[in-house]
Amino acid sequence: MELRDKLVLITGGARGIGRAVVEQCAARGARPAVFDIDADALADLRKALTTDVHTYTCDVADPEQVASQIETLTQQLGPVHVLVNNAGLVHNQLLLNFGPTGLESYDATAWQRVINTNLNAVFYMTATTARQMLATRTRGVIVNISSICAAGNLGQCAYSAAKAGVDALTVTWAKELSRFGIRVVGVAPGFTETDRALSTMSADVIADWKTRTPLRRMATPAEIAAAVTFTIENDFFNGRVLPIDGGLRI
Amino acid sequence: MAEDLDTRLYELLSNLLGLPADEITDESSMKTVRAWDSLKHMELIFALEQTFDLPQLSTDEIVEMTSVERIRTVLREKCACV
Repeated sequence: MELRDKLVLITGGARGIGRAVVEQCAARGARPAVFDIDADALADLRKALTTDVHTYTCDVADPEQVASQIETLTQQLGPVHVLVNNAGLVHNQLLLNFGPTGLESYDATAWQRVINTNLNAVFYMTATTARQMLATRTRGVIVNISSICAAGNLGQCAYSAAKAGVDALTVTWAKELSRFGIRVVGVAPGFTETDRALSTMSADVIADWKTRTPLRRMATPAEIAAAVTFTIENDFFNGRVLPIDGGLRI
Repeated sequence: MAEDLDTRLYELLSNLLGLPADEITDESSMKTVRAWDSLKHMELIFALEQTFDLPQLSTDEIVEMTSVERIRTVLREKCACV
């Protein structure tokens, strides 16, 4: 799909990988729209970009907000051609930890939050957007941002499980929606130099991951965004998750 | 023209549902044809719009067009080829 003039909706697009996707889509003449929970970050994005970007404050883990904001967006801008499910969050904790009070389990509230944002939100966004694509006979692309952690990363059980679920959804929805001209694809970044990654990992941990990565460095958000635009523009890429990990295997 | 429409309709249904054309009758429907599930139904709707150059079918029409007889009725109402 050629990106020029297409409406591309990116969740979590105010910063990090999502923001790089916004920038690269805009550079190709697409019309980017962003859902993000952080209204201040959205304001910063609007100020920073030299091209138009349509922003909507939305908690994508809330199905009612998703339905309402997609309705608003499509009324204002028309049908969505590309959805990039990028919004996510990480919680680092072992299943069992020795704490001050003895053996503690992974926090159940954190588990729910991580699954809601990284997995359930992908379902809410895609179900609503794909329905709208079908209703308007719009040929489209759904891009799910997965992670190298889908293979199972120590200390990130909820995030790993959510991303493995996202990979399964990518394959399943490609089988269901391709007949209607809707491709469903995934991109699985390795460790990437986003503010979130740099703030949640210690310097030692970052150094360790760089050492274990054959290319001896982290990805830049722009490198991941380039993979996203590739999956949008290549019309034969479908039902697969493209790893962009510098050769690292977890 | 009506015969031509029937021929094209039966050919389309045969290809999409994987049935010999001579096994398709007016009574063939989502209830009687196992392969005609909800996913196949939407695929059929898209194919009908393209093959017969129809204006976009409404949700009500899509819900109603679950038998060959009903599809033919809608085609005769909407298709410029009749």
